[in-house]
Amino acid sequence: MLFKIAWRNIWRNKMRSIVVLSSVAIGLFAGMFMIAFFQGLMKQEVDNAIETQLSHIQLHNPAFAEDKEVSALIETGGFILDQLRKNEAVKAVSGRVVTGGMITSSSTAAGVEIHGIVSGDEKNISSVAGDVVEGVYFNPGKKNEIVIGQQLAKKLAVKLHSKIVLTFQTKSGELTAGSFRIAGIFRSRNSAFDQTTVFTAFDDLALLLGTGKEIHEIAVLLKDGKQADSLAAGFKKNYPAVQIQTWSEIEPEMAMLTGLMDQMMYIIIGIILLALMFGIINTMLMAVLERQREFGMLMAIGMNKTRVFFMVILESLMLTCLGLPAGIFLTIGCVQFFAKKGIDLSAFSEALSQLGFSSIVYPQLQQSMFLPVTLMTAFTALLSAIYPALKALKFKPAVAIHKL
Amino acid sequence: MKKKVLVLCSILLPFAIVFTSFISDDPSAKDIVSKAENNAKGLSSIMEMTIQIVRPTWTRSMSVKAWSKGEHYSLMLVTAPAKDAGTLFLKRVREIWNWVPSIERVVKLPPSMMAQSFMGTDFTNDDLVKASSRIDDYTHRIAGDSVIQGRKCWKIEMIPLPAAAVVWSKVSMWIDQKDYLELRIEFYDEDNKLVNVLQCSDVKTIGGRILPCKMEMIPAGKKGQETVILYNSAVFNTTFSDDFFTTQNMKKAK
Amino acid sequence: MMYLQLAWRNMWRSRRRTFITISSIFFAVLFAILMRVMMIGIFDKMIADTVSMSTGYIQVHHSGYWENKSIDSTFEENPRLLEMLNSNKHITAWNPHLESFALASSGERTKGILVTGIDPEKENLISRLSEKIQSGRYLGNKDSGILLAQGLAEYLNLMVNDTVVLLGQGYQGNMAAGKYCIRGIAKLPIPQMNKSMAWLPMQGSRDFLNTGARYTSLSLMVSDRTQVDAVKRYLLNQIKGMSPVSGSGRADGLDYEIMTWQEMLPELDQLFQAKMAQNVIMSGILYLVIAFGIFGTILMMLNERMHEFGILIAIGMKKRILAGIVVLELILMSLTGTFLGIAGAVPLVLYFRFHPIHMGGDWARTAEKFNFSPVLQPSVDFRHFIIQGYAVLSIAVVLSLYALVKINRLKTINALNS
Repeated sequence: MLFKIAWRNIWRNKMRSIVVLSSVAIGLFAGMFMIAFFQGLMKQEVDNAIETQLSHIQLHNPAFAEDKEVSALIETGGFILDQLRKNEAVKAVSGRVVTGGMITSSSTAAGVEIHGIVSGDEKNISSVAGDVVEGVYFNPGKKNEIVIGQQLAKKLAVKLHSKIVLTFQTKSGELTAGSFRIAGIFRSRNSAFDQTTVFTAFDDLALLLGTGKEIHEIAVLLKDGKQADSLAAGFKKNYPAVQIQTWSEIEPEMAMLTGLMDQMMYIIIGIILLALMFGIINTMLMAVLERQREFGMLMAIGMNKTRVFFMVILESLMLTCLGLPAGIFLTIGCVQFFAKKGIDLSAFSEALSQLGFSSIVYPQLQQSMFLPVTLMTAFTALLSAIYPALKALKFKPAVAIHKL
Repeated sequence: MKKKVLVLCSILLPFAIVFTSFISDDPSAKDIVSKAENNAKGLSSIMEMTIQIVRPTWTRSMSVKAWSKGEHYSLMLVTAPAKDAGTLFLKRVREIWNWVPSIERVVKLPPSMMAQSFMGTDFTNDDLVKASSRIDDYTHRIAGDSVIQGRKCWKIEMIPLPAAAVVWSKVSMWIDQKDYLELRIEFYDEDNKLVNVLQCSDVKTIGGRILPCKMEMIPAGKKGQETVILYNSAVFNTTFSDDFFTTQNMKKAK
Repeated sequence: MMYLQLAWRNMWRSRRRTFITISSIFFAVLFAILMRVMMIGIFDKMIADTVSMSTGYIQVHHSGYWENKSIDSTFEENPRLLEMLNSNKHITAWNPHLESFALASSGERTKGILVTGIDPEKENLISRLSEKIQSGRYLGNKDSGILLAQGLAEYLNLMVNDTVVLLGQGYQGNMAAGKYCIRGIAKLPIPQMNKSMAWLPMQGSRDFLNTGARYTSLSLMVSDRTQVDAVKRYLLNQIKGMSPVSGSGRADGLDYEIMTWQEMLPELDQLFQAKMAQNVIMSGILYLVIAFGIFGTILMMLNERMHEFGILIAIGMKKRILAGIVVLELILMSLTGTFLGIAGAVPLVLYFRFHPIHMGGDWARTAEKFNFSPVLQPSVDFRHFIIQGYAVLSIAVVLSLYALVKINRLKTINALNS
């Protein structure tokens, strides 16, 4: 019967109930949206690095990591490449020849890492193709083209269609040079990358290197980035002679920054829940104060204190139960909306919009997050109800009835 | 009849002589450059030179003794100043080694150092190694005559072949018509801007040959900056065995 | 004036009600401040840790050095300059470097590296290099030896006490060459740096490059990230009249260039700006929760006093005036709550400042390698306290205006009967 009373109590004062209910809903929404936002953030930052240069997994000859020796080619590289292409979990692969060398223009020279790529494959795996700001990302059929970063072009004082010379060592240790024309200029988010990486066609570079069809580096983009570690372990078993690294092993700083975000997230959620708790406590306290006369009357006609206490708790419970689904719907709705549209961070930061990069975050919610956050919010809401409920008991019936 | 032929021949003959001498006296641009280049490098030699690095705020001078065999092998020994004396550079085709007495080590220059300046001069290590050939990597054209240092020269315009690993879009060379000496070379970039000038002067007889004894590499657009090489003495056509140009032999050079 | 008196008396008529309302604002302000200073503190630390390992907050160079990094763009050790750095209270440390590109060689192997002349003590204060030593020992001030990065040592197949040869381009075209005994090997967390760095004591580097008493850069650490621009301006002012090169004929200080970390590390600045933008969104979400909490309290309070309002209106008080008084009450309570909130936040934030939250686990260990101490520590910039307080106050005041709406729509009969 307590249930019935509690339920009717709720609907007697719609305003109050709606406020508490909304607080719970908003609290849940806040928590979940925050997490979705963070997830979207991390993904954006990681994806950035992965798409520009790292990819999810990279394969090399173990000797290659030492000093990028031209002779450190992947054994049976072509075979491995084909196998990876067929792998279900793999979204895209690209085989490259990579070497260090010098790029020279008529005014100056710079040390660079030269990537010989197959533009068709590389387009699917690296965002550089999309980052081309001038010219094109390779004309099919044309030989000896090169694509360089904007920063580097400035440093070398060259422009589109300018000629430059690349100098590097061949497989047999001799020094060789080749002239290339700039077909495209790109600008990525990583200016260090722009300054030190240049792209040529696989065949052009391999010809000069004397490496034929052999490959230095295989980059793998997965359909699901989170599988990177497990897939890498699998590859290690299949290709024991090859060095296999995930992006976090190649660039540990990235992994570290995302770890920082994770830690921050817990603190932020904690604060939000605390704010929620106090918000609810205050609202309910006020409500209890408002219902003094009502409680007084109930106690006067014989309801014992325990029952009153539970009644209040039950009311909170019911409101919470109503509020949670509302919060969930709100969250799903907002997340879906923004997941498509994206939240443009540069709208909030003048400095960012000046940089010219679109900083769009797409919030993402993991299913696994729903339950923990919901439970935490429910728990917080109920906890918040205890103190006001206790307060309700302190009323003396006689005084309460006469309360004005 | 006989008389007519004789008259005809005697009229035509002078023209024929003039005509043939005309064709045979005018070499192709490529030939001119070939001759000049071979003149400059060509044979084996032992030379003593002074290298001056001139900058707006300082100048440095070095004395160098150089042994060369053809254009592929050479050994250079720094003889002055005392601080750097004993330093050696060995060039074999496209590779360069360095011996520094104070550290008692032979170090091979890695490819990444190739574009670095050679001993602080306006020449790069790559220039020493001369990866590209002025004869094979360009098309040549005579663009007229000029007079430089009182000598009549051909002005040859050289455009690099599309596949040539050359950063210049055009190189202009003035070659002395009498002795086939390269007196002036101008290097242009793709915007037709002058980037470097190599000026050779002070033509003298040295070691029995006629050569310009002062070479100045002047980067355009950098005021007060140049590198000057003065040839003080030279002995040509010495014979060296290939063994002379090895890292083992380097340390024995004097 | 009378309204103020009425408002004041109303507040104290029901202490409970007033306290509840004030406390809702109090907590709102507290949490808003806490979240903001926590976030800012974390960003500050991220920047501080990154710059301490690399460029410092500000660097002083010979003008043009950052672009061309040529050994000829060095500047002289100027006691006046150093004294100026020492005397500025915002500069907490400065660190001289004499850097150049060189060839490191051992046996058959040669590699291009960056060799940096350091003041071992000063360097350690900022980048904690000695903590990265894996074998051997750190450099002493007058040491004749060299410190190598681990990746480099491995490539050259060298260990502590072995000899490594350095070859390079010295000052004014001089050849730089030297043989050094490896005193220690340090492991740097960033693989690229780990494969290509070496350190010499300042005198060793000067001898190698033949520069005399010169530097390529001076890195400065400041007490507070927000002071960076002010310090830069101060330095620019002060160096007028100093010349980086004696006898160069210039005494207008323009031969120096002073760069901030944002100019030297644009990526980090970009990351930082992005984080600030994210901060805006996260604060927004918090404000939403706070607003609901406050609103709920206000709503309940109005509900509770319906009967009282009904009587007042019935006896003739104009609705407008009643509403005005109630809003005034709410504003007073909001102000009180805000001040108390700011005051209450102070000890709380200070506590976390001195007892920061320690993070554990794998992440913590990795972070330490990057010189990131794995703690979360709030900023103690009081401006944030004020700004957050003001934000919550504004929210509260806007919500208070609801009282106007509610009271105006009041139906006296219903009010009397509640």
